[in-house]
Amino acid sequence: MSVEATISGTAEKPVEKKLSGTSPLDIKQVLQKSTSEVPVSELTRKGFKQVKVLNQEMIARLIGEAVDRAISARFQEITHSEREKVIEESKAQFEIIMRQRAQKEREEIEKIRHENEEIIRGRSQQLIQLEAERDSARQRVEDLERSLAEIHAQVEEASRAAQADQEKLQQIIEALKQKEEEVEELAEKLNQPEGEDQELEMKLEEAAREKKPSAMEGLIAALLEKLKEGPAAGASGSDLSRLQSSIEGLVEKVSRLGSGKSDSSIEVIDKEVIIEKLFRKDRGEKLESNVSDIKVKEAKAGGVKNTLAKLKSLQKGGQKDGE
Amino acid sequence: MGNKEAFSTKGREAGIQPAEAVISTTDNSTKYELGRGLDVGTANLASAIQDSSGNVTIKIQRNAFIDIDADDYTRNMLTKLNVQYVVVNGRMVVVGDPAFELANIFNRETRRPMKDGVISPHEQDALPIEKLLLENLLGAPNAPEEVCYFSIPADPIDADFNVVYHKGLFSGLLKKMGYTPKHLVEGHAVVFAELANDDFTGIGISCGGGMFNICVAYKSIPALSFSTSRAGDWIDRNVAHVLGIKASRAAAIKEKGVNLLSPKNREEEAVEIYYRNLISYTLENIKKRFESASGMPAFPDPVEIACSGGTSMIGGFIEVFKQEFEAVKFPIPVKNIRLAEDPLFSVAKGCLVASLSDV
Repeated sequence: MSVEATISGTAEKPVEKKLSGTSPLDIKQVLQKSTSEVPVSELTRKGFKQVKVLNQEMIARLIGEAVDRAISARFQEITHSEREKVIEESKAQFEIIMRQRAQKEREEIEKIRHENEEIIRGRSQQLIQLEAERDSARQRVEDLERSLAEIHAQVEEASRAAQADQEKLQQIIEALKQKEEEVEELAEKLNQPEGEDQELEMKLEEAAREKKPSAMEGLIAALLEKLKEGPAAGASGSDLSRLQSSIEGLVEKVSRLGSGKSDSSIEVIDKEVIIEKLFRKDRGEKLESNVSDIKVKEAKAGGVKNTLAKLKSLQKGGQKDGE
Repeated sequence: MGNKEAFSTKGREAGIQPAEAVISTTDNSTKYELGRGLDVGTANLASAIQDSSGNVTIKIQRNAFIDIDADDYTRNMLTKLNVQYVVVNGRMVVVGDPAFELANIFNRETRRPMKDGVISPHEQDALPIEKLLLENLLGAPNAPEEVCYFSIPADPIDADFNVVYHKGLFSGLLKKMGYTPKHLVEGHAVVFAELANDDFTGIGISCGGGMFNICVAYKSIPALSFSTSRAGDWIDRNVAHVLGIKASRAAAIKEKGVNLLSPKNREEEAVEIYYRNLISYTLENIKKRFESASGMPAFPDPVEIACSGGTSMIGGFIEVFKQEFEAVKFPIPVKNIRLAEDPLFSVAKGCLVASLSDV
């Protein structure tokens, strides 16, 4: 059997195996066409002592293997690059969609935030108004309560003062009665002596019978009447305390009269004048001054018409909102 | 007074409508709108009235007096010199601006019917003199029960008293004069007078003699009102103490023309130091009140601060205020700090606006 040694002396193009749509490659034929037969003796002569021998089937198999490997590698390459391409495109699309969605949501949020701000602003204004009204109402209540307490205190004080003065008056009247009794006793003693004193005694008796109320008694009676009318008649607490000191002065005078002493310096004051002075209220008498004769410094200031118009328009606007 | 077309509150209650929204009365040739404003300040009293042409007239008088020896010669001389006097409890007292001038001439202190923003409890002659001054400033009402808005301080945050008695007293005085008295917090009056262009939204500060009154308002409604007890008189007292002079003299130095940005001598430097301290104290207290108050409105836009009152009229006040403001982290945004158009008359004008809008 002759050994067919196939040696490729020149670089030839690799075998391209068509993958589809063509008839299968006849490698044997190709090898035969692309190789030449060379006798062994020729090879020896050329110096080839040893040669590697491949049979056609092995070559065909190797070629087939190479082609498969190439195709497989190429397939992998194609798949990876295509995959990357698809991935990139998908990424781009995804980003576009996300951006659009984010923009839409931002616009929604902005709209809602704006609406919220409007609501908050409106509520704040209402709150301010309500708080102002509440504060002013509270203040009014406090003022009224304070005034009421003051009035109560004044009424109580006046009642107490009137009570105290009435008690004092009673004491004075009792003292007077005592003095009268002493006077009567003295008169009785005077009755005892005879003779010249009889005429005097008779006169005394007459005087006792036609006893007219003394000026002091009349005054005190008038005072009592006035006091019975109570503080409502116009006497204030201070009026009543002045009355008290006047009465104490009267008591002293009465005591001096009763003991027989007389003070020529005591003025006889009309009781009506005393009472009138005691119970006269302060009528706000004018002070002496030249203030009304002298013109006060005057200055012209900027007008307020525009300010007033703006304020009235604001107040009307507020009323409309309240309706 | 000429013919009066009276429209009483009773008539209004009975449902009788006036022919015009505002009734005016004649006083020789001038017709006046019904409604008065009255600034009852520690240092000055001021009344405001508007005529039918829209002109506003302010009558102003210093709220001070001083006793002098009384005799007939003095009486006549004072009248000839246009100096007002009153005889109280047998003593002659000079009232108003001349009292202040006399005090400085004789190196004495004036007596003040009001102290720290309210009627003074220590001045027994305060009431009759205050009554007289009010009668002189306001005169008789132009119509029965004419509305008169008078200023009151807000309750202080750094002193322990309230204004109930003061409010009741002046209401009573005005009622006796024939007015229908209504009160308005001083800071709120400044808002009315100065913040019309900002929709009555912002901060009004009345820098008075006895107190600083602060009002934060939103669309004319006060959200926060309070006062602090340091003011012009505090500066006078402290400057007087460090310089060894009378408080009246310190006040005269302050009012003669100091510029806080460029004090020229030791006295003016003392004034500048205490002014800075006062402004810083005020701003810190405003900040504290803002931060501690509940229900404060959230101002959507930056607001304006308007300062008024005699104490703010000193040169450089607003610049110093702005400087001290920068040092404080203010809780709300502020777009501008400015002086009132008529600092001495703002409160009276604000009260006038309130009374005219009430008619």
